[in-house]
Amino acid sequence: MKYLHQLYILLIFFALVLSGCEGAFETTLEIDPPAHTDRIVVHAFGSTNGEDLKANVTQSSGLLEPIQNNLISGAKVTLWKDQIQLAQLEEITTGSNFRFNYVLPEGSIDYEIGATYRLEVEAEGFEKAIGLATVPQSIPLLKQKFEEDGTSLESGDSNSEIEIEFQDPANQEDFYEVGVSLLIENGGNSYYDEIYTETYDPAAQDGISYSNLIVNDLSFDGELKNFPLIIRKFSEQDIDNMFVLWRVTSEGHYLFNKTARKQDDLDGNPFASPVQVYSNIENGIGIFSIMNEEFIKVNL
Amino acid sequence: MSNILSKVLSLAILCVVGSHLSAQTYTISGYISDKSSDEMLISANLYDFESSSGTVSNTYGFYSITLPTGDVRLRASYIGYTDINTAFTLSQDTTINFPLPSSIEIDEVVITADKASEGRIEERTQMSTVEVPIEQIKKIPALLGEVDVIKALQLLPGVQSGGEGSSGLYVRGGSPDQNLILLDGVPVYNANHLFGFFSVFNADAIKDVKLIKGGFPARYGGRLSSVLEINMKEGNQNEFHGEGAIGLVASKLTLEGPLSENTSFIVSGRRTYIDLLAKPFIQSGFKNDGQEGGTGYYFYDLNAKINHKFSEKDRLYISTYSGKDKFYFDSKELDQEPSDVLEFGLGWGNLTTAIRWNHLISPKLFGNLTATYSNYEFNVLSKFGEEYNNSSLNEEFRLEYDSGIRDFALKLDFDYLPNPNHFIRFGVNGINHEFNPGTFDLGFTDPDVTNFSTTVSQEKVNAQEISLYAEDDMQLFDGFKMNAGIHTSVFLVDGKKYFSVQPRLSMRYLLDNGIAVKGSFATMNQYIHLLSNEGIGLPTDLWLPSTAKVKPQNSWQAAAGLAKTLNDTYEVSIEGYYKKMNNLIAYQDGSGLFEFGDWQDRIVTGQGDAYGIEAFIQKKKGRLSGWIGYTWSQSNRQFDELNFGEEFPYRYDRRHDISVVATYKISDKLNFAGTWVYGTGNAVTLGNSTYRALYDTGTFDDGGNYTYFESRNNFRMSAYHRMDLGITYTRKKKKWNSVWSFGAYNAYNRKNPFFIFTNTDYDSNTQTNKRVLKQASLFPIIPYINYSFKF
Repeated sequence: MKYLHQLYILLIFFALVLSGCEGAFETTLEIDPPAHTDRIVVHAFGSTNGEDLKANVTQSSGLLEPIQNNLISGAKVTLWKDQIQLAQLEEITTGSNFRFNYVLPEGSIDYEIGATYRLEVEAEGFEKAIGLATVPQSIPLLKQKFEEDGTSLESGDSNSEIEIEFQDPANQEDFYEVGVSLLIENGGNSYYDEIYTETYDPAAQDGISYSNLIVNDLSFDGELKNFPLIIRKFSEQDIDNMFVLWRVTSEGHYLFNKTARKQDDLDGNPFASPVQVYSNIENGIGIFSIMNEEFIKVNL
Repeated sequence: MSNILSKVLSLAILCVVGSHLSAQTYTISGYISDKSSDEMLISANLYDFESSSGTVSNTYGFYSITLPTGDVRLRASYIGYTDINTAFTLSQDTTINFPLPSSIEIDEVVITADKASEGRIEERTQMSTVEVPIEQIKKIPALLGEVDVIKALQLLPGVQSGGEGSSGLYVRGGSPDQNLILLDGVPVYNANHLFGFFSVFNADAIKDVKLIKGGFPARYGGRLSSVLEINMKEGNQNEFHGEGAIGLVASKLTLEGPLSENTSFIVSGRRTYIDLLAKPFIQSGFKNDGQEGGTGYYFYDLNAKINHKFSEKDRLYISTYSGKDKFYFDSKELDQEPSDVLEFGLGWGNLTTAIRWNHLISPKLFGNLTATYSNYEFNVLSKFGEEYNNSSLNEEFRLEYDSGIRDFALKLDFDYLPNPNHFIRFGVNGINHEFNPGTFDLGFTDPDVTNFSTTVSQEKVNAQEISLYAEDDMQLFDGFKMNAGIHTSVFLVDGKKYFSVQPRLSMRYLLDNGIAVKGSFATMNQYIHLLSNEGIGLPTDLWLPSTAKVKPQNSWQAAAGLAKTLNDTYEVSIEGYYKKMNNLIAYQDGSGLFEFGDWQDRIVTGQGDAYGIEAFIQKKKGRLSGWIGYTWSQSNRQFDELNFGEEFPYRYDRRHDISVVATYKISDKLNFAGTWVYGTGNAVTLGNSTYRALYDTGTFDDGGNYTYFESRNNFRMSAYHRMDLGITYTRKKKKWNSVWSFGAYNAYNRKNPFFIFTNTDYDSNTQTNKRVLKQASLFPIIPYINYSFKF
């Protein structure tokens, strides 16, 4: 019993001490963020369509720093093939945020199918960032046929669709990107207006742009493949200026699209496992990709 | 491998046959039990000093030893009990039962295990195995005073908890689904209450706990990383007794006693009561908001067992466990027309049943037939709508989600003890699994539109698993023991057949200085998978079968170590291990819970490895008892479709893990206990930086903000360490013993990491908002008080 009394006293003392330590029961604690090294961020896209190359060169921020338009100016951005420097990209300052700030104008390069090109970005205070891209072969679209009354998707809205068809080469991994646009003529200027595109074919999925679809040939290697591009309702008269954007791309381009879109979709979901966005930039972050690209007019 | 195994088995058969031919022998057999209750004692030792040979009792307390004609001097012993010695001349097959008198306190026991008896660590062939007496588990301070078997096991080297407060077991780099948790031989699929903070095992109903981390004997199969064997008490055969406890979280009561001369029972229940205590306050709160309803959470466990002795040769055991967790919320607006109604429920639970029939076929051959049933169910119900006085106008939307697994199994096991040098076990096991990978029931009732009700379910899958095993625990020559066996199994699912042969081997060689050198090798196959989110231990984790698309998990593990008892007081062991695991599954990046579509399309398969060194020193007697464990380990995973194919650390990869457990008997009435644990922080995926991406869509520029993750599980949370302290005060009266327990969980109020998140805080100095990274902790110092009693 003697011990029990001592124990009661101890417990009361314990409770008094604890009640005086309000802060001690705070259950959150500020901690240091992971180590961060400023890196060059490059998103560079070349196209056989315009024989051009444009690059957005920025720098990364620490996890807790405000996300800014960290354009890097004064960088040396060069394109190489083998050990030969082909061109240096010209820096442009458009004044608008987040644009491609280093470009090679249309027609300034003649991409060789199957060749691998190297993009080097050098900027003061950063390690040199390097990306490699191989020019994919052309895989023509054999059909792009418009149907005014297309398949209805889950929303129940009436749709139109464009059935596309192509012959996938056998025994190699191929990657594609496809979208639909309207060419708008406006006072002497022309531009493309993207149309939101869906499909029910499981081989295709949404990419980063929210309008184009990305496709890999895992489920139809070597086959004649066709699937519909489902778009909002158009009449047959409205399609004079309708084009299919058809790109043969690389695995890196596909993975970048897929993972970036997935990270976007899961933003703020604490129960989903985090998604790493694919990068093929050594010593940096981002993607360098050259696409075999065509705009093809839609047929009835 | 199979060549070596066949040679070993041939040698074993020769030894068995040879020993039969050598001399006239007779068999002594019987049961070793607790004298006061007639509870059978598992792994109790029987040693003959004349022949210097011994044996151990099996799971049902049965022993058998075959000795040459002549004088025998037997000693039956078991930790916590007083030995019984007997001597006689053996001239015929003899049956002797040993009812051992129990010592009151474990630390009063004089461990008399002879140097050659099976009781000492250096004598046991089996390595990587720990048995923690339930009385010792009860003394370890626990969260809110709720004694927890699994939390006690987490204090052993090679065993980790998932995180703060978690009851998950991560054994040697394996995941929780790789633990075969057997309650009276029946698999328990979800051993957690309250989202993992408590385990489902009520310590008052448990007799024995054994954890095997490697060197698995052939009689076990179906999981890669561990076997946790928990046996329930059988019930006092001699007199009626009860025990119970009143705690901060739950109260429990256990009753046991004889039903007839040959029949005894035990029934034990536990329930939380926060929901009941808070009910009036919650109802009042709802009323103040113009509503009626309630919210709460509870869990309960119910264990029951009956055993009946038909004769000295036949016994029947029927045991069952039922446990359930339930979280609920419902509300209805008052004085409104229509009134909004809302109902939400989240529930999960296990039901297991085992019927076991022991039959003594001969003094050397013991048979056991077991039929088992195990069911785990998880359910979410959500209903909302509008209610009118005229019920025909009511509107309701209903969503219900169910998943689970149900097993029926039949098992036949034999123990054959031809002579003291061999303990042969063989048997067959058949299980029918029924998997429910997830069913959504959707319903909508509205008088203005067409009502609908539909079920969106993933197809239930039936699978059959059949296994055969044989093993021999043998002494081949002086100082050298070996347990060699083979476990074969076949799994049939959707017309696909998987077959595996799993050799098992454990060896022990006793050096002259009393140090045992041990080694083991085991291959394991696992036909079922647990698809879990890497976050908190949610009961939504899905049990899924191997299919034509998803192959069975398999592993091999090799271990080597040294063991010795020092000064008859300290058991010291050190072990190193390497484990390779294949066909592990995980969610694809970004996949998660409650998704429609085939689960097989949401997973990826990969491999893992784990290796480490475990050191363990345990003191079992004296006023001060306990252990110190240290583990150095590494565990990695590699999935082609995760982390871009690069290997990454397992979330629970823990480089250093230390545990110290001590109980000190201050006096007959007062007992002090303390634990301290330290572990390297868990690995989590956290962005290193952020950046803007710009994309050429062909027609426009598009982009957004992204987070850069250097690799999966790239960030280490801060180290976990915690001290728990407890003191018990025991009052003993003639018919009523009571124990007051006081203590504190996390006694020095360490803020251990539970999860990490980013937040925007206002900085009053600069009058700006700033983004900060925060670590949330779950439990500060939590004192507890608990009252328990026995009568």
